[in-house]
Amino acid sequence: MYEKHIMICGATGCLSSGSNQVAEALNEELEKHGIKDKYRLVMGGCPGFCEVGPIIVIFPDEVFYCRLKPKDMAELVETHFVGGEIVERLLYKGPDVDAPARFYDSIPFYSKQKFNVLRNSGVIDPESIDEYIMRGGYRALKRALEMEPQAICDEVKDAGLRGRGGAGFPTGVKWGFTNKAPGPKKYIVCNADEGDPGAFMDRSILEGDPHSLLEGMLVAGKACGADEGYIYCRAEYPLAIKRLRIAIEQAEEYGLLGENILGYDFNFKMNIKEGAGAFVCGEETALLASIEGKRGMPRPRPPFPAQVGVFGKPTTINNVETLANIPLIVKEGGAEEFAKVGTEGSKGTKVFALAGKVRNTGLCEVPMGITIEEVIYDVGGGIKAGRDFKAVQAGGPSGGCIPKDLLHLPIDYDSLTKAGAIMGSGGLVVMDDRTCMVDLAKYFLSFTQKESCGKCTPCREGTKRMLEILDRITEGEGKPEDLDTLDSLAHSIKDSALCGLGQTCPNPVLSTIRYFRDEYEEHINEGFCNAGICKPLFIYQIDAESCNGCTACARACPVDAIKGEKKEPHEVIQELCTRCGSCIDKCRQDCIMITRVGSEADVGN
Amino acid sequence: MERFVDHCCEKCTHSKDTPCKDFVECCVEGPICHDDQSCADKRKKIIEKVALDEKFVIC
Amino acid sequence: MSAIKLTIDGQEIEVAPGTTILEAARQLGIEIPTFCHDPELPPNGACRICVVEVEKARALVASCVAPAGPDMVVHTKSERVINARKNNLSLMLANHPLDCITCEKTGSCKLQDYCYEYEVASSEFVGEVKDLPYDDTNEFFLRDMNKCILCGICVGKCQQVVGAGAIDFTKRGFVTNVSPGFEDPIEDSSCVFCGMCIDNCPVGALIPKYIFGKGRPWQTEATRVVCPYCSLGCNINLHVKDNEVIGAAPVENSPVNRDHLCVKGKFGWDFVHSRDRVTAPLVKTNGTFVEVTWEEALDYIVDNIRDIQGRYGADSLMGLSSPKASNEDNYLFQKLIRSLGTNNVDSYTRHCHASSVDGMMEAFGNAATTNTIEEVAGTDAVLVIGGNPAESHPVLDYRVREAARNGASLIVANPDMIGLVDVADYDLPLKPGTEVALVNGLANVIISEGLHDEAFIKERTEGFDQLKKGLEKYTPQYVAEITGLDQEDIKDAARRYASAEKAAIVSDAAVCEQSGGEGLVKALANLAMLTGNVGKESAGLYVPYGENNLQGSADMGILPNVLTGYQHLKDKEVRDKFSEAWGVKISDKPGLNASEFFENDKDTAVKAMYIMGENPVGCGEDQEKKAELLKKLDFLVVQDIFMTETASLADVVLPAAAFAEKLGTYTNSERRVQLSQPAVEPPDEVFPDWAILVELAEWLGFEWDYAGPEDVFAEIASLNHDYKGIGYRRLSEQGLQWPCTDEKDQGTKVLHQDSFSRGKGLFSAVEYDPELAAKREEHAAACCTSGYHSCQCLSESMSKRSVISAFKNGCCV
Repeated sequence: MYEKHIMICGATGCLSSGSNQVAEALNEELEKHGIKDKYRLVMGGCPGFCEVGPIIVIFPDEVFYCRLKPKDMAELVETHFVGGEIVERLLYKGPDVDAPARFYDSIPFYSKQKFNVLRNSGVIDPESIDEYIMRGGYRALKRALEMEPQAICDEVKDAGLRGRGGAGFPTGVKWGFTNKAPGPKKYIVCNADEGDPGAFMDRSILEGDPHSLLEGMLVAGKACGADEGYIYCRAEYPLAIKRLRIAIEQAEEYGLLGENILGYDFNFKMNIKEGAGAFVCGEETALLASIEGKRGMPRPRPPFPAQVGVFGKPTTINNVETLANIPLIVKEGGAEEFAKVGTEGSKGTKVFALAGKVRNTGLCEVPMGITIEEVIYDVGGGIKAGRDFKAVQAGGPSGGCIPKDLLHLPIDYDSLTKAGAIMGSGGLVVMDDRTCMVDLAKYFLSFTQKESCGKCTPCREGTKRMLEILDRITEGEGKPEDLDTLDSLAHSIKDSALCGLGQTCPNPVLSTIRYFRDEYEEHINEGFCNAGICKPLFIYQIDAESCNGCTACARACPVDAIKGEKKEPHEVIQELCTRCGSCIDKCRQDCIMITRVGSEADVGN
Repeated sequence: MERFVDHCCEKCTHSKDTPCKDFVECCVEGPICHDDQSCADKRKKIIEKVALDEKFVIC
Repeated sequence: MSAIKLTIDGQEIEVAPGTTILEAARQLGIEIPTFCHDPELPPNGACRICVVEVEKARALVASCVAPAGPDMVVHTKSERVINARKNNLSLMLANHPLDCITCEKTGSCKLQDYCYEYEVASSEFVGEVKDLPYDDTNEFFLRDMNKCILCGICVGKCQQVVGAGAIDFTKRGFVTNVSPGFEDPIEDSSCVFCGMCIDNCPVGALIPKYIFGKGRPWQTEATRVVCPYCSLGCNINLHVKDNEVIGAAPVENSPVNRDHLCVKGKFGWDFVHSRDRVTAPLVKTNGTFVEVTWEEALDYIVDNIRDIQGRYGADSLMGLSSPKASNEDNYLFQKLIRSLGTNNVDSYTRHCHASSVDGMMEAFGNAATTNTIEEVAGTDAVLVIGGNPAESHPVLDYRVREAARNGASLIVANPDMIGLVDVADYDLPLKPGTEVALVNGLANVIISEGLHDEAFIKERTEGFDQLKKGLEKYTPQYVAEITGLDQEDIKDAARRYASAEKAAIVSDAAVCEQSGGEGLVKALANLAMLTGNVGKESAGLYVPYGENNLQGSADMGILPNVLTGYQHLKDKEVRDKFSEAWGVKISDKPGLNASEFFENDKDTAVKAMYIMGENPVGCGEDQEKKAELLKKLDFLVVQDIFMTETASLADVVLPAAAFAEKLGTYTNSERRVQLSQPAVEPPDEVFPDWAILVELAEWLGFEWDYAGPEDVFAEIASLNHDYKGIGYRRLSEQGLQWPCTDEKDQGTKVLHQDSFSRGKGLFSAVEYDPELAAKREEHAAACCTSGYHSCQCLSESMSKRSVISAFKNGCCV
């Protein structure tokens, strides 16, 4: 029996912040003091608060240490483990707390979250099937094995689970289609491709609690009459793939995968198919083609995968998060519990990846129905560096931006659709007033243009032409008719493209024009980018009145384009300035202005 | 008994080739097919290694 | 399932479930534009030009893939639809070279046509345009991918229908392209230059090189001909301008080849205009050829023939006819030779086809392929053995692939890894020459597991007990040893073939010849009869010949021991019938066959020879020996279109017209008699074979009275029972398969339906010959690619004067 359990975040986010090195250093220090055997060290799943990683959570002490570096470990071991006292300087500190916060319950980031899908992430060792079982794992499978397939579909339908990949289709209904399809051979496919830039909800589930996905797929198999499954996981998630392989091996050894599972007349074989770097393979029919070894190009529907899916057989395709919800729903009394959370039309919780200019970036799981404002300000901690909120992009390259006046909208499938936005898979990119919306649209469109499979004319050619127009606008060569052209082309593409990628890729453009038309017009008609992003369309100018001559900007400038004496107002030398933005990041007086090109003539000095 | 899949004693028959219907419940609540305190203790030991308090285990 | 009612543009229609909106609209006569749609390929839905508006649907719907739904209301020309189509065309045009003025595709380009129809004169989108290098280094066609609109039809045809798999989509996004792997030039890929991509490309991205600068589509005329290469007899449209053939394309609806061709049909016609054509009669004087008039030539021939026959007897003359010449040519040839008192008439193809012909004759009583080419697509199991149809009979290969796509089990038995192995369910890479052992092994398994069709065997065959005994030693173990295969594979394949409802065997006459000859064909016939797979649709035994009219030439009587229609010389009644019809006395002595002449080491009785359209010296083995034999003749007349190796040894060379220059019928391997039209006039002093023969006959004193080839055919029909009901009037675009016994008879698709030609099918036990296997191994090393090249016996006189000789795997002829 261990005295303490030390959960070190071993998910990709913290790993890239150096949690491996932190873990090594901790190990060393504990050994040095000869106390290593008293404690259990686990490289666990993501606790969600990536902004403050690397993170270590200690049980039963219930202490949350963050922003750790290897050199902190000496003090941590001496003070906390040997001395029995908390190291205050390593606790969470921020403008949203009065004093350093000790544990989850005092950290505002966690205040409105509800851990359903992430219930085990960061709490268990993801490479231990025993821990998963201790936490109630595989009970839903056992219960499902005693039920009639249609009854399982109905229970999931009545619980109100909707597809978490973005489309929001009722999962129980989808399973019902496959269940009713004729034939002895059917498949369950899990879409773990997660191609949206910045999205890592599914990754955290795969890395932190892989058995929950396996169990979800097994229950789906029983409900649909399938005996084989494919997990299509993008190759860019090697840790997730590793964890999945281990989990599958373990489940097979335990008799929870394979033939005659738990002695019932139910077999299930699990396969992993790695993706190969194509966003379009997140589209379900392209994904199926890829599993079949073919080029990932979407196919016309009908026929739908429930009738003709992978290898021509009836197939159910579900997202990772959707399947990870299943063990919670199908366990004894789970459906009722699940339906207690959320709104009428959108039950349960949703995992979001908060990114961008928000203070608390990371992964959060919130009940459906929470407002966007709550997510951004209460969970997210508001905008960084005291700047103003401008918009939040939901749904990645398929989604739209949500401006300030829509912040009060509750997060659920129907409300967002009505407002012309989509929930998407859960990526939320928050933007402040230094984000150019034209540039944002250009960023997402250039992504989809590169990822377009090339099969249909509207997407392949249309996105290219839209991108060319946006390029011109951001380079100061916009024409007045461009907005109409963009609008009509975007609608045309949406109307006639073959698959979801094509049909939704104009969304970022359409929604930014809808809510920020004046910004586009400013770019086109006045040649000015007020966010200071489109380099040909602005210059930096120092306001002589508020500049205190601290020289921080001049020292930061990589091309020596700022001149000025200490304690004297500084000046930008326009001919040398490359508008890289290093100065404005450093200025604490907020006196570097983003102004129109040519306006320096108006400012005397 | 190091892991739940190891047999607690010769009475246990579960394996992937000879599965037992009650295996999942038995991991935490067992032994189910027979009464034996030492077998139950073996399970407790596995749990205690990784669980700190009763809150960790969910039945 | 009940019919579906829907409304399109205000018109109501009822269609069968599964009908697409596009098909339903076409039934109403409503045209919807398409680029990427092809009825032979799976639903694509890529180009999006066919989108229509369906009330209550969120977005526009691609009519080529969307099934018609009950109570659907569809608008194919609403403003929303027109706008979408215009936008689509504008997008395509923005990325397309605008050189319509000189583009070879002008006038037959869909992009051009739709831009005209939808009034898209130019594109509003000005930006990056593709700038890819041409793929231009092969001999056959130009690939200009800058014009490609990525409809994907070429990819679909290449990968699925033809199976060559030379091209696919590469890269993605704006730079998506269609190309061979690694953007290699097409000639370095697995392309077989069948031309299907070219013929189906809706724009000018793929242009055959023969058409450059030759003329516009509206300046040419199309004439329907029968292909002069292999024995499938595909129908081709030759494009003609100013009496020159400038191109070829598939016809729309051939019962033989649908709209498919292979490299030979698509590109192999250019030899017709080769400068090597013989354009005047030639007489060898003092060792060199001198041009003479027809009168001089014919006079010279008549003198010599009369002289030689006078001195040595009628049998001193021998005639060698051509399996490439038409039925009329061949019929008149053997009539002439026989009228001159001898039965020494044969074709040189004997050495590569005769024993397989004999084998089928013995087993069934008829050597023709039992079923129709088209039927292969509908079979449940097909065994491909003794050949590679992709090389020798490509269109047949397409049908085999189609059968596999439709769920048929494909068993491929070939020492090489031929293309079909990719789509095969059972791959049996046996050692060369061991085919007989394998087939016997399959039969052994079928009998020992009780999978044979007892009812069929009892009612329709004889010799089963003897076969059973002969097969006893061909156990899977024994056969596995000989063939080098796995026992279980042999058993699995046998079970699959036997348990299918209809199963076909696809082989190749020439290859059969080399890998077991008569024995192999008999063994295959055994297999087919054992399982009741003869005499019913989509089953049978396919042993197609090499040349286009080998079947016809045999039907016409180019054989030393039978007359037209395989009627036996020995039969006095038969001889009398012909004597009366022809007005001459028919000799009752069977003549020499070609092998007997060419393999003879001693002096033969033959002193003069008339060779029509055949080149024994130019083909296969022992070319010098054959030349020597011909040189020893007192007199040699060669009638051909080129100065071949054989012609160069002749005393007289008569210039004959090529296939594209004459009217005539040809009979393909499925017994289909087809009429080939003349597309161009032959050069001035050149005449069709049949006309030369008529003229020569007159000079020899025979009274032949034919106004044209139609009259010749009428005479054939009067003497050949199988052709009785066929006449030029009835030979529309479908042709007719013999037996066709009267005016009302629609021809016979499937032979041996109620009884075999010989009554009951004959089983004969065949022994595996290890010596033959050894010879095959040697042969394989000496020959081209697979050693199973079916054109071993052919002289390439046409193909080496055609661009198709640039394609190494295209098979000669």
